[in-house]
Amino acid sequence: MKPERRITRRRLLQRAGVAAATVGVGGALAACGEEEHPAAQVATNVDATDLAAPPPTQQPINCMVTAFFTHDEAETVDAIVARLIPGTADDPGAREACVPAYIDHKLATFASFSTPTYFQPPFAKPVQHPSGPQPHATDSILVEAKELPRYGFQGSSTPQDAYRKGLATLDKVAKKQHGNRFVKLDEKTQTKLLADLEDGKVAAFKKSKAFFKMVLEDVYEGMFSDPVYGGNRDLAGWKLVGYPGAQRAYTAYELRNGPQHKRVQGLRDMPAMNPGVPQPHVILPLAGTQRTESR
Amino acid sequence: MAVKHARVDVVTIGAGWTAAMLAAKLCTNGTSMVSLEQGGTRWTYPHFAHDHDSLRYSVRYAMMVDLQRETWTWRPNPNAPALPMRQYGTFNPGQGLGGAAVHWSGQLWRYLSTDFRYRSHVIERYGAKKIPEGCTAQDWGITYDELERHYDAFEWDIGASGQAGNIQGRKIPGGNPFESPRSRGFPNPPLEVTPHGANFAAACTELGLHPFTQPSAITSRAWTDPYGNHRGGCMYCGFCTRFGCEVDAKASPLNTHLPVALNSKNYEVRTHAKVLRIETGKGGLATGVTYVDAHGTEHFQPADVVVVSAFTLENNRMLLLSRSKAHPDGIGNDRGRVGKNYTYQIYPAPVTGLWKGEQLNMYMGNTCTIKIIYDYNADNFDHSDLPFIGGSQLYSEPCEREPVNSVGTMKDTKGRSWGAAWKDEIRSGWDSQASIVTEGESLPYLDQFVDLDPNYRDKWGQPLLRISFDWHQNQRDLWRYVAQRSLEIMKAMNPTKIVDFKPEIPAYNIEKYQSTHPTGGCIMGTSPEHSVTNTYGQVWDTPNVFVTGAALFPQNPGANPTGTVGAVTYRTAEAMAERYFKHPDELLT
Repeated sequence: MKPERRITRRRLLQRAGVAAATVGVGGALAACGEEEHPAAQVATNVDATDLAAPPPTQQPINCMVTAFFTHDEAETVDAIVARLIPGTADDPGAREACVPAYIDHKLATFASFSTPTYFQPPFAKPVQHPSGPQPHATDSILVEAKELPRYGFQGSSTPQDAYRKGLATLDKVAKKQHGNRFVKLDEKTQTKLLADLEDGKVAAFKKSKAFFKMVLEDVYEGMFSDPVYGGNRDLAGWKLVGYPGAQRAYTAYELRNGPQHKRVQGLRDMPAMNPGVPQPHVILPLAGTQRTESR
Repeated sequence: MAVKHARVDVVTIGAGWTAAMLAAKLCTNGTSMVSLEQGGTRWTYPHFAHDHDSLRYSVRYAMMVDLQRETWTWRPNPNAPALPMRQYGTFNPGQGLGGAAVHWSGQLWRYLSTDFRYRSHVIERYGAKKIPEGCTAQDWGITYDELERHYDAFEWDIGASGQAGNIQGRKIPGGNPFESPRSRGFPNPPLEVTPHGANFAAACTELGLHPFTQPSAITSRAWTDPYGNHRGGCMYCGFCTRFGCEVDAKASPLNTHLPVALNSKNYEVRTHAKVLRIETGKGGLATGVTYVDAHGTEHFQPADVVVVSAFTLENNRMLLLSRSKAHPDGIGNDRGRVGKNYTYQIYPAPVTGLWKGEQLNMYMGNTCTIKIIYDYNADNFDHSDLPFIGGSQLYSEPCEREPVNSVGTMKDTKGRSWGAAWKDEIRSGWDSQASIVTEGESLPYLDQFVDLDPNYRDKWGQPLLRISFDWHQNQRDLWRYVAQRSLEIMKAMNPTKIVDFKPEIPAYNIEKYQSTHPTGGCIMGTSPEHSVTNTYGQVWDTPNVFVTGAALFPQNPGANPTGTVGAVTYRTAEAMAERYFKHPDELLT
C-alpha cells in the first residue's frame, strides 16, 4: 500500500489562484481532480510537480546524527565518510561538513527513496548465462550478470534497509578480517576495505558494490548540495571546488573572465524575485516519493 | 461509471508545447479545446523564483515524470530480457503544465534539407548498397522548403537567438555555413560564449573548420514576442537544463503559447489528469478519451478530434493501449507499424582535456553558451571511402556545471572518485577540465522498436512501454570517426593533458544520461504501408486522431528535435484550421 496524504481544497485553491494571477490570464485553468472529495486522498507523487514548495528553511543547528542511525551505525557512517572525503578543521572533508547529519536526516525524512523510483516487482536476478526475453516472468527476471550494470539501478531494498544491512555487514567483515569494528580500524585499513567494497572483492559482502555506490552518492549530495539540506556546512564543499553556489546571475563579462566580487552563497542568500508578491506559505516534502505526510 | 464531460472540438493528451501551439493557433479562431495533463500546474512565478537548487532539480528530478507511477523498460535487443528504468538515467521526460519544454535546454535547430529525404539522398549520392543491412531509414514525405516558413514563424514567435549562416542562399560569416537557406535571420543575436567555447572555436578555425554559436531558444536580450509576452534576457545563472527559467529567457509553453491560448477562453487545461486510452466508435473513429483524476475517478471527455501530444514514448504507448474491436492492436497499428523506426541519439563525450590552473567558468551559462561545428554532421563531408553514413555535431561541452553531479566524474590516478588524492584533483581541477561532445544521428533498424512490456505495469495497471535499442555497426563506425576528429580538435586546444579519450563508443546503457531525444515509433510518411501517419501527423487508419512531436520522425538526425517539432506542429495547425475542420474525418492531402 502506497503512503498517501491529504491535500485540502483551500490549499489547492490558493495555489491555483497564485498561478492564474501571475500570468494574468482569464482562461480556464481548471485543476480537475483537485476538487474536495469525501476521501480526498492524493497520492504523494503529486509532490513531484509541486514546485511552489520552498526548500527547507530550518537548517539543523548542529551535526547531530540521531534521527535514523543508531549510535553504532552513526559511528560507522562517520568513519566511512571521513575516508571518502577526508578533512581537517582547516581543510574540511565530509565529516567536518556534517555529511553524516545530511544522510541521517534524508533517511529519516523519506520513507524510502528520495529520488523518483519505480519499485515494483519482478526484480532482476543475476545468472551466468544469456537468459532470453522471459515474457511471463513472475518472481524475478533472470539477467546475465555481466549485462546487468547496463540496466542501471535494479536494487530490491530501500535505502533505509540497505544502510541497516550494509553497515552491519561491514562491521561483520571488519571483525572477521581485522578483529574489530570498522570504526576501530586505522585509517589505512579502513581505506583499503572501502576500496575492496567498491571493487566487489569482499566475498562475505555480496552487494558491496551497490552499497558503496549508494553511500558515495549520498556523500556527494551531503557535501555539495545547498546547506539548507543539512550538509555542506559553511559551504565547505563549494569552497573546495571553487563554486560560488546559488547566484542569481552572471554578466557576459563574468562568463568570459570569471566571477567578479561574488561571495559564495546558498539559496537563502539569493535576492528575492518579485518581493512584492506574497509567497504561498506552504511547506511540502521535496520532490521525492513515498513520504508519509500528516498535516 | 465514468464522469462524462461536455463535448469539445479537440482534446489533447498532455499539456506540453505542441498542445499549447495548437491551442494558440486554433482556440483563438473559435475551436474549443481541452488538454489533459498528468502533472501539476507551474508558472514562472512563483514556482521558479527560488529554484537554484541542484539537489531538488538535478538529483531528485523535481520536474520529471514521477517514476514511482510509471517508467519505461529497456532491453538491448529482442532476445534479451527487459527491465524497468527504476531511477533516472538515459532520458528525462517531463510532467506538469508545459511538459518537458519547461526544463529543456533550449538548443534550437532546423534539420537540413538532406535530412528530410534521407534515403533518397544516400542512394543518389552513394547507391543503395551504402544503406546498412536491416536499416529502415526513409524519406519524411515533406521537404525543407515546405517547412521553411513554419520554422521561421516558430523561431520568431519564441524569440530565438543566433547568427544565421545562410539567408536565401547568401552565406553569412559567423553562422552555420552548412544550414539550409533561411528566409531571414534570427530575431535576437547569439548568446555569449564561455572560455572553453572560445578555445574550441579558435582551434576549429585553425583546422579549417567552421565554428558558430549554438542557435538557441533562450533570449539573449529583453524581448517582447508577437503575442505581447515580455521575456527577460538570459542571466547566465547556470541553472537551466532541468530547471524552469525565472526570467522567461528560456522559451517554454509557459511564456509563449499557453498565455495566448488561455486568454482565448476556448482552452482549458485539466491538471493531474492521466489519460488511459483513446475510445473509438463503431466506424473505428475516435470518440474521445478516458482519463483518471488525482482521486482515481474515471472521466470520459468526448471530442471530435483527439491529438496525441504527449512525449514521444507516451504517444507510442497511448496508441498501443487504445485497443478496440475496430483496432484490435491499437490505433494506427492496423498494419503493425506503431513502435517501428524508434531512434535515439549518440551523445557521450569522446575526449576530455585538463587546462591546469585555468578557470573555465563551466558553472555559469547554459547549454547554448557554446561553439559548435557542422563539418562532420549529416552528409556535409564525403562518405565515399568511409564505412558508415550520417554524421554528428561536435561541440564544446555545455556549461551550467553543478558540483553535486560532476565531482563523481573526476578520478584520481588510481581511477577512484573519493579519497585524499581525488579531493586534491577536484580542488585544483573541477573547473579546469572540459570535453568535446558529439550529438550524432541515430538510424532505425528492424530490431530496434518500442512495444508493450509483458511483465511490468504502471500505477493504473496498464503495461509499460518496452524499448528495444542498442548501437549498431554504423554508429560504432561513425563514433570511431568523429572521436578521432574530436581528438584532433582537442589537441589543437592545447590542454595540459588529455584526461579521457574513448576511441570506441561505450556500450549503450540505460543508467547514464544521453539526451531526452527519443524519436519515432509513430512515424509520418506518404503511404500507410510504411508509416503510421501522413505528413500532418494524421493517423492513416483513424483520421480524427493526430500525433504531434518527435514520435513522427522516421529517423533522428544529428540535431535536437524541438525546432522541427515546432515547425511540423505549426504546419499541422494550419492544415487543421484551413482544411480539416471543413471536411472532418477525411485524410488531408
